[in-house]
Amino acid sequence: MLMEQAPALYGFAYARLRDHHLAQDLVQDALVAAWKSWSHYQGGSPLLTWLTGILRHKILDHHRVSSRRPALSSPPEKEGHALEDDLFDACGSWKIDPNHGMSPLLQSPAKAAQNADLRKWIAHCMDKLPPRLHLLFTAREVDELPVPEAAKLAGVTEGSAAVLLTRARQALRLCLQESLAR
Amino acid sequence: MNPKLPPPRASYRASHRLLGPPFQWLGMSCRHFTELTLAAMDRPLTRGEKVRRGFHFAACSVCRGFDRQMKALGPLMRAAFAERPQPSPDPDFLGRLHRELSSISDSGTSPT
Repeated sequence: MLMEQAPALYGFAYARLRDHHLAQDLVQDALVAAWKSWSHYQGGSPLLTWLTGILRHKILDHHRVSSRRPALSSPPEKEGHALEDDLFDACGSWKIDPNHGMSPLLQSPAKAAQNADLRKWIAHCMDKLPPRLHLLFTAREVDELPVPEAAKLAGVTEGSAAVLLTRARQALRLCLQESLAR
Repeated sequence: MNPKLPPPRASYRASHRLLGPPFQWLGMSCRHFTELTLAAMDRPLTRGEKVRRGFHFAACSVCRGFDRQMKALGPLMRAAFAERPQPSPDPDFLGRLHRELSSISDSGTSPT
């Protein structure tokens, strides 16, 4: 029964971590843990939901151990400022037109939802985020976790998560605009 | 300057030549507006922040477009993420995993 869930769990882990080996290792850890604590499974929630919760804990543990690496502290700081300085002048006014080429996003939500090209570009721009930022961003935006939980999952402090999420959204928006305006 | 994207329209440039410095001084420039709009997606704004954001929102149509973009992006990102092709795990990995689970199944109840 647990083995049947392995592909879905792997899909969940890979989509967030984008690391084949790490996704496999963590799915294996999660399933072994689930197997050992099978008696705790209440059956109230779907099995996959229970397993995904365990997998999240494994991702969190992994980043807790590896968070001593300063993967996110210094370089994005620089990049972030460069990004904002490219967008705004000394008075904080736009140097570029942020709405140029963005009409697919500005049309009615129902129309935008039908635009497959738009979703393709959005996925492309999400993929361009660096790995740890991608994990933080998907935890917050896709899984809609509260900021403290998303920060823990990605192994960053709550304070830097706020800064990083803002940068990620700004970078994603700009990537999307450059793609659509092409 | 981003070479790939054009500058804002002339009416924006003219109005913000005048409004830019006082907006900047009051903490309600377009840059402040975007920062506050993005921050509001993760935390409640303070009353002062809401006032500065609200004032700029009323004054600047270009930033109203930015606000609409950010509002539209959330559900589209979730849709885009959900429909990305799902990679299949390696059959070797599934085999190893099955053996690993079988090896520990002897102890206690097992969900086979």
